[in-house]
Formats: sequence, C-alpha cells, structure tokens
Amino acid sequence: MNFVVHELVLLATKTKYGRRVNKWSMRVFGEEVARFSQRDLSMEAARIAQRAAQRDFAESVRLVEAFVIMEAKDIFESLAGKYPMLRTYHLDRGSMAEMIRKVMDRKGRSLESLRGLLVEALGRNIPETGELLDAMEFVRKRANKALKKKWSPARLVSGVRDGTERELGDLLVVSENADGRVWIMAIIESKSFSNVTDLSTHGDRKVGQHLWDWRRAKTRGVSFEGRHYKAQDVVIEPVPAAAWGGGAYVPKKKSAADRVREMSGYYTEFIGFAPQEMSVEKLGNLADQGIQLEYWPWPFDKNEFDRFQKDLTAAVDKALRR
Amino acid sequence: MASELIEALTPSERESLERAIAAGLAPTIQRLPMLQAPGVGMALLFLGDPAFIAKFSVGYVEGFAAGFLDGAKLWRDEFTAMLRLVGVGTIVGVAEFFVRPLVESDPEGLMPQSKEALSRLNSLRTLKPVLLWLDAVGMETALDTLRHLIPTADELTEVVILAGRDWLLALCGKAQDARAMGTQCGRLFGRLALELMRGGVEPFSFGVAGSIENEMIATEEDRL
Repeated sequence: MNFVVHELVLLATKTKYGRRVNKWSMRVFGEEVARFSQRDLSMEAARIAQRAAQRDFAESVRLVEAFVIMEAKDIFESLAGKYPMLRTYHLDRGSMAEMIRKVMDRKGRSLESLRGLLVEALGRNIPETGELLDAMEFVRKRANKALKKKWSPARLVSGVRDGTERELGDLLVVSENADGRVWIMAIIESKSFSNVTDLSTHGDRKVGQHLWDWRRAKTRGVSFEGRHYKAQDVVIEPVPAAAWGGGAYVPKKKSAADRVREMSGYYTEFIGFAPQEMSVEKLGNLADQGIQLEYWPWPFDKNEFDRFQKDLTAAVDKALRR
Repeated sequence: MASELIEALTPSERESLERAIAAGLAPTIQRLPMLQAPGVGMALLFLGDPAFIAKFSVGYVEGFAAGFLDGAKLWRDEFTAMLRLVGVGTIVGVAEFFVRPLVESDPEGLMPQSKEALSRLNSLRTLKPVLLWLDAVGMETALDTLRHLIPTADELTEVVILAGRDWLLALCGKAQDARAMGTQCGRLFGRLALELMRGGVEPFSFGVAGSIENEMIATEEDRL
C-alpha cells in the first residue's frame, strides 16, 4: 500500500487533477499559507511522494533540537547565579546552547559527553589558552618571516576529526597555508578523573591520546570547518622531549619564552587539561611516553564542577524528556 | 452510510462522477487481462452488471471520504505531535504559540545551524490556518472536498493510465463487488487528494512522525 501511495502521488502531481487539487488547497488554506509555501507541485513531485509514503522523522528531531537549544538559554540563566565560574570563564547563553547542540548532534546523544564539552568550553577562556595562542602567533610570524611562507594567523579550532570522522583532540591551535597545508601547532586534550589515564596509556601500551592523535593525523588527515586536509598536507610533529630542560613531563604551563624557544621548527605542543587533584603517580605516567606533554590543571574546584555538571545534565535531560 | 454520502452530492455532481468513472475507469477495466486471476473477477463484474458504475460510484464516495479523513487524521496527529515535541501545549499552549514568537528573531551567540533550526521552529506559526483546518476537519470537509474534486473523465483517465494497471489489480483483486471496488479506489483518491493538499502547503523542513505513518500503512495493508 505504501508503494501505491508513493506511485500515485508521484504521478498525480504531474496531472491536471494534481493541479486542480493544488488550487483547491490554496483556497482552503488561504493566501498567507499559499505565499509561504507556494511551490510547483510537478517540480517537487518526488519529494512530496516520498514524504507521503514515508515520513521523515529526522526533521522532527531537528525541531526538538531547536526547542532544547532555546531551553539552553534559560538553563544557563538558572545555573549562572549558582556557579560563578561560568561567568569567570566567560561562558554565556550562546556557548551553552552550542554545547547542548553538539551533544544532540552526537551519536547516542549521551549527556556524558557534556563533561568534555564543558571542560573544552571553559578551557577556551582560561589565561593559559590565551597565552598559548599569543606565543603560537609569534612563532607563526617568525616562521613566515624566516622561511618566506604564508601561514595564516594561529587560531583555536574544535570539532576536529580525522579522515575516518573520529574526533581528534578537544581544542587545537592551527595555522593554514595557501599551499593547502595545515600546521597543527598545539593539541589540547581535556580530561576528567574518569579518563585521565587516556593521556598516558592506550590499553596496555604506554601511548597516550596525543600520540594517537598524531598518528591518526599523519595517516588519515584531518577535517574541520567543512574542509579536509589529506595526511600529506598535515604538518604535525611533537616538540622534541629534550627541548624542555626539565625532561619529557612538564608539570605546569610553560612561559611564552619557553614556547617560542622550543618551537624552533614545524612542531606541535601537546597539552593535557585535567583536574588539579591528579595524583603524583598519574602525573608521573605522563612522562613515560617519551614525548613532551604539558599538564594544565583545572583552575576550578573539581567538586563544584561535578555539581555543576550534574545540575546541567539534569536540566538538559528534563528539557529533552518534556 | 454509503448511500447517504452519495446523496450528499447533487444529481449533476453524481452524474459527473459516474460519467468520469465510466469514461476514465471502464476502459482500463475492460483492458484487464482476463487470464490474470486478480483481474478476472473485476472484469466479469463490470461486463455482467449494468449497475456496475452506479455501485462503483457509491463505493467511490464512501472510500474517498474515508481515505481523505485517514490522511487528515494522520496529518493532524503528526502536526500536533510535532507541536508537543517543541513544547507547545506543555509550556506555552497552542494559542500562545501562535501569538508570539517562541524565539527571538535574531538570537545572539548561535551558530548558523542553530539559528536555522530556531527559524524553522518559528516558521511553524505560519501554518496556523492549516492547524485550524485540521482541527475542524470531518465528514463535511471530506464531502466538500469531494464535490470540488470530482475528477473529470480525462483527469481520471490520465491518472489511471499513468499509474498503469498493476496498482488497480492490487487494489481491486480482493474486492468482491462493484461497491467494494469503488470504495478501495475512492479511498486511494481521497488519500491522494489529501496528500497533494498537504504536499502543496507543508514545508519540507517540517518532519512528521514516521511511526504514525507506519501504523497507518499496516492498517491499510490489513484492509487490502
């Protein structure tokens, strides 16, 4: 029966009868609707028939999404008074809405992923990130001048994926060249207590997430903001461990001078953004990979963050279930 | 019930319908292959019963109303389900939804995709006349639509010929008499009219619940 409806609608849109029905519906629904949705039935026959035979649920989902995005603004207002860190780190209604939209865009729509997005959003606005960006911009200008290259201004990007559409890093500093290459100048991975070991191990191997990011970028390329860079066009190399005087593991943020000094080539800084309560043992593991990994402790209290995440998750969940 | 429905048509409307069926449908029926099981019964009925067209027309009117109302109910259910999905009826109410925008016209701090989604939400309001119509739709609406959409002979022929005869065989194969065949055919045309009306006014960006559609399809398959 479904097939018959589809075929009939498809065919009838092209007939005189179809045109007569269309005129009739304009009379029934009035000029306002007619102006709003005026269309040539015969041109849209396939779509109308498809819709008639099988309704498109995905669009409904998008409308739900729109509603929740709208709700996100109210959610922000209700939480901002209770959690001053939101304003401290310049989170606003818009960024909250975008965060929720990203959760809804993801497969499974797990609210667990809110945690990563939250840390990423807060991480964008901590002083360390600004200083990193300034230092990378200095390095970029220096490279352009010394090598007569045309690298674009260093900037932060998120939502980066590898060539197989898997996420790569939480926040990256990148610079693009007119010749089609992208230089990944820094990769920031945000971690919480539950997954902080990802920074230092992958299964049984002492290869942390940054090294996996590096390997995937080198073999699969990267995509962001609608553009894909093939593997051979991705410039990404860990800063040599020896470049930092203190060894591989960097227990705190580097100074701008340190960064500028060690970024003497097309290198990439690897940074882990994790709770300040990380144990000495876990911190020590970071150094065992043989690469240089910088550790940025969360500037906010873990308990407060946990409470905030719980409240936010509950609010979003409520909006979704309404 | 069916005879009452056809009496809602004026004699001239009834005559137009019968003429269209005779001129548009009969040749197709006559061309049905006699050896194909689904077509045999229908062809024999048509050839052997002088009142075939009249009985078929009675069934057609009944079927048209049923098909039209089926489609309208589906549309209404989906429309209201969609409004519920976006919160209307739970937080703002239908009346309020149509009075004020739910979302600022140009919200700040959102990416283009989000703005687009919000704009779609707001544009739902433009369909107020459709929702009001769906709220009031009933047998009277169905008959009114039928009166205005009695196909002419050439319109009917055009649709039937374009569609070929496979669907007709599938449609009528199980029907036992002329009226039942008319009902099945009318049901399709009623649904068709509704779908064309819907296709003409409903923006493509608005989704509707697939599960409801599937239930409807299963029900109609049972009927066949």
